[in-house]
Amino acid sequence: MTELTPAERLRSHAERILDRTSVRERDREELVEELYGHLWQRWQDGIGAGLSGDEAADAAIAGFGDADRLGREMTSAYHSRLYASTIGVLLPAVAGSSDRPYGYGRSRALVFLTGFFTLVGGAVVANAQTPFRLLVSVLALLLAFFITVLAYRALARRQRWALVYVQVLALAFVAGWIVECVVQPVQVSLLGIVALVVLDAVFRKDLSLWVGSSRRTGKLLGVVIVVAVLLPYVPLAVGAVPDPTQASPADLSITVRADCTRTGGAVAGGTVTATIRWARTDFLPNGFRPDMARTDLIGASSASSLQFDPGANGLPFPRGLEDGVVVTGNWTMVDAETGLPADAGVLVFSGSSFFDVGVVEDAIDPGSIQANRTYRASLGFISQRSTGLPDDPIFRVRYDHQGRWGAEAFATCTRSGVGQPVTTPVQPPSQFP
Amino acid sequence: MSDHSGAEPAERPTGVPHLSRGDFGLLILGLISRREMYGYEIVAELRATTKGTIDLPEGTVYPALRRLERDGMVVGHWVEVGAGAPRRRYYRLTLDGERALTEGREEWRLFKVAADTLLEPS
Repeated sequence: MTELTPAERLRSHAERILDRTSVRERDREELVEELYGHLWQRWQDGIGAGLSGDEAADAAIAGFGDADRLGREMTSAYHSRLYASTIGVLLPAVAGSSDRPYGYGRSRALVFLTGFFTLVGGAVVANAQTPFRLLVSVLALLLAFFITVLAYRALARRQRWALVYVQVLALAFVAGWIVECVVQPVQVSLLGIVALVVLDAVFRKDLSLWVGSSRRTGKLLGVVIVVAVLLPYVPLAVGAVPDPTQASPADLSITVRADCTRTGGAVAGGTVTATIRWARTDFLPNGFRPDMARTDLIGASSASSLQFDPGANGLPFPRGLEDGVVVTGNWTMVDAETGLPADAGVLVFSGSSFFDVGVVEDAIDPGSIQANRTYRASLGFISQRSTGLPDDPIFRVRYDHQGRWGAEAFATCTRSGVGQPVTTPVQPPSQFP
Repeated sequence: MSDHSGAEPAERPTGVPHLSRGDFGLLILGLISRREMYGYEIVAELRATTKGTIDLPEGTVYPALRRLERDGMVVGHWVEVGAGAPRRRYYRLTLDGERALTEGREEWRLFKVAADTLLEPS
């Protein structure tokens, strides 16, 4: 058998230590090199001190420590690296770690995913909010994201608040998923699934012991944690908060009048005119992106609209071609002074044909409206029936502000009407006011 | 003391107080905060600075360094030495390591004050 040189013995010792570990091959090569470097320098010092090569190698190996114990320590130092793998982010580590407790990887995965989806949600919200609500939403989401980053790091530092945060997160996501499934069965929620997997681990003793030496979480911090978990839901709730940058029903006045012509006492035709004036208009009416109006999360409507609706809700006005009533002209909102249209160039007829007297709707471009200017829309109607129309037909004019709020006014041939705020989506009134 | 990660000293010389993993990691952080060092240098410096009071099995330093590196307290890089000598892996402190060292120092100071108070002859 060939005798090993001192240098070979040193390398062999380094490898023997690593043989007792389960570190990855790439790490192993570097570690062997590092340990060998240490032994080599100790060997050189021994030779410099007058020892023979073998004596110096013996001294270097003896001074390095017990190979078994060093191997175990090295394994312990390396194992939790498995959590860094891609699968380890989503699932618990395949191999256990001697110093990271059960559930640690899952908990951090939940926090990671929460942070990720908070950012994604923020990007979606930024496209579809009015300015003030957008500001509130973005601040809330940034704060929520910041807290997930803190919690992700704090959990590694064994801080108790981070574990409480994960516990509340897991409970909230599982509860939210259950509610979703009740409302609409068979909902798949990635966060819900991960939370369910995490739920088991975060309430076991392992993680509690892991953070046991850190400061206790007081009531105040508990409240802060709950608020932090709820922060990503702010964009959904902010719709209920009035946006001071946006016009409100109080800023709009609508008056409607009907000028009727009569034949033998019966109404034969006439003109319905709506006069509209805004005291204030929306700041950035189309949002930060031109298509906000079509993607607004708050309201379902695609745009503002002005509706001409004779005989609304079964009120006495003949509808349908057989009644022989036709409308004349275009129901278009125009600037009263300049005559320029303020609509989006889209007329929507909900009747079966142009000649039916149905709901006529004019889509309004919010960006073309100016405050303190008067706008008008009018439409003529003619009865071709020999008996004419009922004595006092009712006309309704309705304004819908991007599905967020609305106003409506009623008029008859004998009485003008003033707009009143209505909730949106605008519902037909149960009776004539 | 808090756990700053380090290796449990494998064997300890008689008469040397028990050194926990966290304390050993903290000592290493303290040394590396002075300048970049490699493993052998850390062991030698530890021995010299403490005048042999802390004289641990030399290999103990490597699991401790790996833990500190894993936890983001230190970062290592290889340096070629030349002349047939193996290259060396030098370690330097990260921002997290500096923070942990600051916290550890304060905890150690408080512990020392408390221990001194208790051990003071009455």
